[in-house]
Amino acid sequence: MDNLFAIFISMALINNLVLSKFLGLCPFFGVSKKLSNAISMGLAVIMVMMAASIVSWFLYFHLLIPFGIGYMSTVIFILVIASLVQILELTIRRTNVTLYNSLGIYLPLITTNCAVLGITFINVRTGYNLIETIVSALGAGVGFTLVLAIMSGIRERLELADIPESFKGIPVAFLVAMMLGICFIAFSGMV
Amino acid sequence: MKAIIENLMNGIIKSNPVLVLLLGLCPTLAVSTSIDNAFGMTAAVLFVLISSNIIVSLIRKFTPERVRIPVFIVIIATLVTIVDLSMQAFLPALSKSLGIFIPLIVVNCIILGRAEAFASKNKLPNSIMDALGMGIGFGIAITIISFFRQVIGTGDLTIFDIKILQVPGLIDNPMSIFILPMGAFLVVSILIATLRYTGVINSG
Amino acid sequence: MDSNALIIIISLTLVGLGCGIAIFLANRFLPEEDKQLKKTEEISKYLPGANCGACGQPGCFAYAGEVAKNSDILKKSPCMQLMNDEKKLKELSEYLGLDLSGSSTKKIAVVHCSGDSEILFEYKGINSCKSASLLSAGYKKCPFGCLGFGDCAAVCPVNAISIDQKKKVAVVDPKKCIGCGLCVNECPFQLIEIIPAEMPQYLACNYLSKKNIPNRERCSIGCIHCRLCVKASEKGEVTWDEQKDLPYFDPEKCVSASAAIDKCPKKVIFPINK
Repeated sequence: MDNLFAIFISMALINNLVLSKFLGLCPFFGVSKKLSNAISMGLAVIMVMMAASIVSWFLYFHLLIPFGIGYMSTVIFILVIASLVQILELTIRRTNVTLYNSLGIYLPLITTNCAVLGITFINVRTGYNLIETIVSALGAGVGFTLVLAIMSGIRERLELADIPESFKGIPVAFLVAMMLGICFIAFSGMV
Repeated sequence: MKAIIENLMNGIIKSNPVLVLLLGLCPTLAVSTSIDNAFGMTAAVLFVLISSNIIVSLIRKFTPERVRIPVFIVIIATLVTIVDLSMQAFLPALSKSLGIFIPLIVVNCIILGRAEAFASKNKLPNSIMDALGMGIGFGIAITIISFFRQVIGTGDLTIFDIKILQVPGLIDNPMSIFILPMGAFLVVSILIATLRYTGVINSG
Repeated sequence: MDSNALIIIISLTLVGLGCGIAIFLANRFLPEEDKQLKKTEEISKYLPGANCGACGQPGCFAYAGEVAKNSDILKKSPCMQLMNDEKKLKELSEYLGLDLSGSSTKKIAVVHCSGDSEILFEYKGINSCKSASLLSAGYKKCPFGCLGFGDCAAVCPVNAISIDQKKKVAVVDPKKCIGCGLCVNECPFQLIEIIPAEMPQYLACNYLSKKNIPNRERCSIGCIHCRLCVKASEKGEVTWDEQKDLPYFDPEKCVSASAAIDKCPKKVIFPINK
């Protein structure tokens, strides 16, 4: 139990996917202008990460490794993620049209999110068992959503500030990310 | 002919994938800790980019509309697997230091983006030139960033084990924040802002 | 064939089949797709997609949903951009099988301020009209004067509002304005009004003498409430608004008050050039 808690905290805060591992940067700077968009994107990413990690764990340890074709993991994992995102899009489209409209184009973009593919690789390369994989994916998703929410809150305020012309947009967002990263280093004292 | 050269130059400065289009940020920031890594990553991305643009441009008339994206992804994934295995065999040290970012070239927005936006709609020579331009642009950007990070962050410039220079003050007390993830954000931010200020690139 | 290659082909096929079956099952067992959704999507292809809110719905897709339920609402549609786009209107009416050649009420926005007020103090703070208005009723001498930070220009979906940097006043381009009304709520002094597009003139002043502040006079061309415009209008084009103490141009009538424009001593009634 302690081990699972440590994995969760590690994935969410210490080795945060965005700030220390540089995964998922494109949506991080693209989606984070409005808080409500950021939270919807984050929840969708958590669902996809968990489902993708579970399925890819089964496929890796019970199909790829026993047959000695571990190197096919890239192709297989991306196929799995693409199908899962397609299923998620279908589900949201049929059950909740308002949510589907507000997520708009960001739903198909989860397929190309480095964080989702990255977490599947991290899980199989670290050799977690099934429970640890689930906790790790959940932690990574929660950490991603957390940082996305903080970033969008700050960017909403930055809209009103007097920023030099050449820094407007991405450069100042990068500076904010740098300061966030420095703050998150403090979490390494937790475990 | 002129159009082909224009495609090439487009990717290097005007639509530089990292500095203007802001695609492919994940590998740029992560592997730019040293210039060796930068060269290795550029070579891998160039290979995948050119090959995928060639293949996509050749089959663009035969792919049905609905399965376009999955087909592109599978092509790119196969190419990336080839690159990954080759690197593990011939350049194991580089493969180890680049880590999971070699397989992550699959979801690199540059490659999928150019396949979707350009190669699926343009002829073969244009697509090759575009891929070459984008790859060179990416390489230039990542080399500049890793140059700054390596020199200020570790104090010495060593490319492929050839010592080129050692900055006297920094070699003893390097500013290691530049090697950490935060330093990457800082360097890219100042780089983009400087390029915008001097007018080399337009802010989109 | 090499056994390795065989294994790869078989496993890829299996995984591909598995994904395909999963998607097929999801397709089958999820609730039916909202039939309106298809129609709504088709309709929304003809809409401008600016999401301005003129129609009263939160976005073009929502309006397309309303049209899908009852296409008659297009006959008096407040969607200005659609009504002004001949080609799209024709295609949409063909798709729905309706005759939409009738016109609808076109509206535009006007800013009731000429921007001529002098600056009283230098403001250093958040660059937003809403913030600046909280500090001593703005940095201009006239306490109702436009502050020119562009809150209204920022929300305009068609970039019809520009800020005159010398006078620090917002100016609406009547040719581009679609009358959506998003700018009205942005102005902290409520200087923007939506009027029918046929209105030929408007008052470029909103100096409310009943709410005046000592030593904060109107600008050099501000309305002095002399009522000469009312006396000059022979057919009653201009009446007087007692509440605001300013001339009133009836939006139901939209008549040209050229005599009033000439007689105004301050020349603060501006014509609208379309």
